[in-house]
Amino acid sequence: MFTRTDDKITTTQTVVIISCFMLGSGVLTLPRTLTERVKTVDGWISLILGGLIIMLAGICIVKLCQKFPGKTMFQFLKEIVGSWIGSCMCLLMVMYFVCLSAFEIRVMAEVTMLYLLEGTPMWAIVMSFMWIGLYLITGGINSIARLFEIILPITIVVLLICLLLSSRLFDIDNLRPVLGEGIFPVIRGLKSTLLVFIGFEIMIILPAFMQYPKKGVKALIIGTSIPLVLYLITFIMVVGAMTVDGVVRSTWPTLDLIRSFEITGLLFERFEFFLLVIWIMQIFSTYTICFYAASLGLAQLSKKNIRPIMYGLLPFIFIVALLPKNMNELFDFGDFIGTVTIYLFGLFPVLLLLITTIFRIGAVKEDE
Amino acid sequence: MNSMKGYFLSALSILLLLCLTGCWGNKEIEDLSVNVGLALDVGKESELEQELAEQGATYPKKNIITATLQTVPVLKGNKEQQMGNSKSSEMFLNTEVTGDSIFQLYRQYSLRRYRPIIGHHLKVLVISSELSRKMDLDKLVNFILRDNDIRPSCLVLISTGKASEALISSQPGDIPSFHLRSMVENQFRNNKILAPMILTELDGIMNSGSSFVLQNLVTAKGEVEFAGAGVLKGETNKWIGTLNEHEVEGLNWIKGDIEGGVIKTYDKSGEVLAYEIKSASTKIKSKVNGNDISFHVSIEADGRLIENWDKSQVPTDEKFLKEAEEYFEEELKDMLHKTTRKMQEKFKVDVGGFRNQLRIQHPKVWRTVKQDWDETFSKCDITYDVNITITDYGSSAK
Repeated sequence: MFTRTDDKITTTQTVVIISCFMLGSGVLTLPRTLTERVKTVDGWISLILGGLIIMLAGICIVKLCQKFPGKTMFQFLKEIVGSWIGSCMCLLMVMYFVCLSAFEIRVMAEVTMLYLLEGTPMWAIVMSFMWIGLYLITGGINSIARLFEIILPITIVVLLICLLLSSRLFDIDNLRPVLGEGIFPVIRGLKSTLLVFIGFEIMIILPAFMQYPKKGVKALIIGTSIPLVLYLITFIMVVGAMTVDGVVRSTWPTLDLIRSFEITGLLFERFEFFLLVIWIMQIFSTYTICFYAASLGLAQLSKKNIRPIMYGLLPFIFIVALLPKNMNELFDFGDFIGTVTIYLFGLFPVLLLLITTIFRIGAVKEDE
Repeated sequence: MNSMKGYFLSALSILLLLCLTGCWGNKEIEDLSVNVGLALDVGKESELEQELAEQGATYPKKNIITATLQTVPVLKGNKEQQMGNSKSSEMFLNTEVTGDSIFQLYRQYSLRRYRPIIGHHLKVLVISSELSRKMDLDKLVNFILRDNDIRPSCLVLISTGKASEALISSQPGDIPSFHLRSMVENQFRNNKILAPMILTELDGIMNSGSSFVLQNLVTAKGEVEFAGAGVLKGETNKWIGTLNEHEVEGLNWIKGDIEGGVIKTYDKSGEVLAYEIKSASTKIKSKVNGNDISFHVSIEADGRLIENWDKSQVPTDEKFLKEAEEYFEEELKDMLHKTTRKMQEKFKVDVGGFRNQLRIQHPKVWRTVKQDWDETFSKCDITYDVNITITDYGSSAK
């Protein structure tokens, strides 16, 4: 039977896990997906709004979890909606996490095969990635958190340096005028911004592991702000250099921006490899935490030991990752996952929160 | 049990040895042809190709494009190096291939040269104006933009004559592609050079439907010179004409791309006066009055009086400095008017970035006129206000 050890994480670690989860495949395609919808330069406003909305959705989840201290949503869902619906929803969430982790590794494999390891077979890239991920999550949430604490600062520093070096291509005129076509384009872009903030849903399990679950909201807000700021800088630099019309024509605009310049005399001339390296680390973090969430969900649902479940899930993730036949299917898959997130972790928790508040389910109220 | 574990571990460690071989997909750089330059001309098979074709080297194709692929390095035998004759001193190899799909042309390369070609280091793309007049530039760069090896930092240039001639050098040891790539950096010395147009930027401009200019090249006797600019019309992405050096200078002033350079003029007695630009700034203001759109361009420059042939005038004299400033302003205004006239009357295109100013300053108006902006622009009123300041006169007070 699955027993929760004293595997606790600090508030900072919670922040880091949320940030690492959010920073995933989105950062390379964000400027294009966003601009395609917005069609003006105002995407950055949508980004800020999207971030705020996600924070609200995340807060709902945290508040909900705080009503059931020490339990993950997989455990307390039954108490709210009954065992049958609860189990179904939990299974859905597990499937969601499996799909998301599969999607992340597939995107990683595609980009790696395009720019880094041309000619290496997909299974070789994907499998090595998956096994190392498995090795990490067998160590539990604490090992994951500690690894992420190493990854995140490296990511931030390298990403910022890469973008800073691109500043000579930057032209502020490409980001003007602000709101030239009114507020409507900004609203139009909201959906694609929500997709890059996928990751807040990890709060369905994290509060149960937190040393101080009361700081959940704070952790969530900071954890969302870090990716928000990084996304903002990325978007501004990429659109500022490539213009709206250029961004929509590039499959991986952020990468293309970094590929658009060479710096002589700075030890390295080309910086896309650094970007790819940190980006692979970020994908790895998203993948592992999803993998962990999925296994934890199954373990708690079936009340079995988590180890065999981790091993058992591995082939499923592999198969799902190789399902999309081409890039279009892959991007559609990503959009589909994003849509599911909105319903499963955006609207559903609000509903649950309403139910628990109205029917006073959840033993401990936070006022003490 | 213990021995089982031992066997397992030793088997595992032997398996792990496989990983120690390192990267088995590596390719030695000496065995690759590094593609550094690409020139595109109107398709015409070279004598060599015709001869090869006569002997059966042909496949279904239309001879639309002749691509000249410049590759480095050239392998040299010891003998040749010692003899050092002029032919073998070339550091590069140009291969001409004719056909239609540029990607296929790149692959045809492997039928003639044994070292596989790689695109990671493509520095320049030169397109002849004749080809560009006939073909949409978008089609020409389509493969290059899509390819995953070729970097979007590749520079795009246009040439008056054959583009392949721009990839030939008369100087021993010189690689023309690198030469061209570095020459655009000379903007701070000469204001007749346009800001470099890289593929990333070109892609955005072509998609926006805006007309644009590309740095033009002329060639003679193995020498290449930057001269003027090729004008490409936005709707078709085709070449429609050339701006001369003087007009490019004017265009750079309008676009605010001046990083240095010179204004030369003659005073009333016909003596040379030259001005070294230290800093310059341009502001374009758009005004919308009903259906009329007009622009006001104000230019300010700081610099130094650097050459004065008239001995009777000394720069310590305030009156002379004021007079000299006026000469320079006169010259600059004349240049700007010529450029504007060429843009508005001859080519009827906006390549001076006026569209951006209108888009930023009057987004609502812009939406209504953006469809035929070039047409609207050619009827716009453009006024200039030039203010040139001489801050000093160098190390000579005479």
